[in-house]
Amino acid sequence: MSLSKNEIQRICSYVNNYLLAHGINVPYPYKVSLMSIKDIEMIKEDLTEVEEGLYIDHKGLIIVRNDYLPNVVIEKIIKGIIALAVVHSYGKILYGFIEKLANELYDRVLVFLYSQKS
Amino acid sequence: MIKLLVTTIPGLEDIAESEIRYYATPLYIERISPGKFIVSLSNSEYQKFLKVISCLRSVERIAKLVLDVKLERATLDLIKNSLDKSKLKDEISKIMTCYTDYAVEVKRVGKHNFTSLDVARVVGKVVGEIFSELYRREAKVFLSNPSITFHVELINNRLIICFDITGERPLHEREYKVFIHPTSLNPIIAFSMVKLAKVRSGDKVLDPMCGSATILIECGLVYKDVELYGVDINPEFIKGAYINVKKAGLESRIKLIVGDATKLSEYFPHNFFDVVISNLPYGIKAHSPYPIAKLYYSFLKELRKVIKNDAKIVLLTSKTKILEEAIKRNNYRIIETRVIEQGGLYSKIYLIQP
Repeated sequence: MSLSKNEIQRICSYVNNYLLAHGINVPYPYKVSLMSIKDIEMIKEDLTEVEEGLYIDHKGLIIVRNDYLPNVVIEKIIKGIIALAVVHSYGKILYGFIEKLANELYDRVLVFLYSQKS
Repeated sequence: MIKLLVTTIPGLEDIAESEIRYYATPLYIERISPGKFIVSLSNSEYQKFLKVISCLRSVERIAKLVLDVKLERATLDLIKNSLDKSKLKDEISKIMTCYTDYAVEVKRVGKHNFTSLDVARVVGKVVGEIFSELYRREAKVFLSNPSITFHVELINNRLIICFDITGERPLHEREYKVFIHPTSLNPIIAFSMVKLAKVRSGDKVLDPMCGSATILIECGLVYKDVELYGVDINPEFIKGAYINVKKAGLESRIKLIVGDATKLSEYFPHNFFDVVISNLPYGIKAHSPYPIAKLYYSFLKELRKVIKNDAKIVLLTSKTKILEEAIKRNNYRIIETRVIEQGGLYSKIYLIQP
């Protein structure tokens, strides 16, 4: 069970808007990719590990392991976007900041994602 | 503290509650109407719980409450006055931008002298006012495909506004359901029947009229070390069941047989099964080759041969009198019964033993 393209697009759109509104620039364009552990292992050396199952490269790629529960994947994508933005703005990964901001955004993103249908 | 509105099948609330308690430690749980209850969680429990929502097997939907008011009387004026603008403003600013369109959906339970549309109009107007205050522009209502839907539940005098956080689909929609049986059983009910049977590790479990194998798949996904057997008289259903079983990744654990539930001893040894779980045919949609009364009687008579003395049997039917008669004539004991409701239709789950 994984996320649809539409879900990923909506997560990105929400987090982008939020970060921009708070003066944090997101490098644009960037890609989100859900990959198996096996595939990640092959390219891992060129990536920065943000946390278990979440990697970024500084050119704008977010990679999340695809075997997590959907809502865990959502949380990791949020963290990935914040990490990209933070690296872009401050030149380094601020783990505490990413964690705090992701916690704040997590349930808002879920509401934004899933409360749309009538 | 965060409150969640949980929806399940009416009659299975206790099973949904205990599943939620398995994943989280609620501060309290309050039943508000058949099939609906409110779970209150601390902020940290809520954050943890959000991640496992898709694992829930006995829940239909989960919504986050933004407003929960008990009204003195349910009138449109009191509803309007009860809408806490500062709380709503806080929530709206979190999830709506100046370009977000919205809709209000209302569900009502109880007698009121106004319609659901009237409530939607009142709530929608207040949301629009708050939006205008926030963004200095008029909010756009988009009923057919809104970006955000405010779900309003008016249950007698209680007003709840919430946002759905379930996921893209309701939780009863399982990924393994490729083949849909004409009288397909809701997987939430199938899971609950498995829970009622209190399956233990090592048990041999039979569904003698397995259809698309929903019960066996739910059982196999929850219990990793049980032996599962399915029988159905219709070869097409067994073919379909195999597709579902394969999709669920359980093809090595579920054995499917084309066979007659009234001739079980031809396929299985005596005293073989610990648990039997089945959604019996009601004889309404899928035409059985037997009259229902004869089928229930013959099946329960035959079942005695292949089950152990302490076996647990969980059966679902809407033909309650016919089943009770068959249970009585075959000397089974009724341990527990419960009525469940699905789309206005009532059926009953029986837990019986030899």
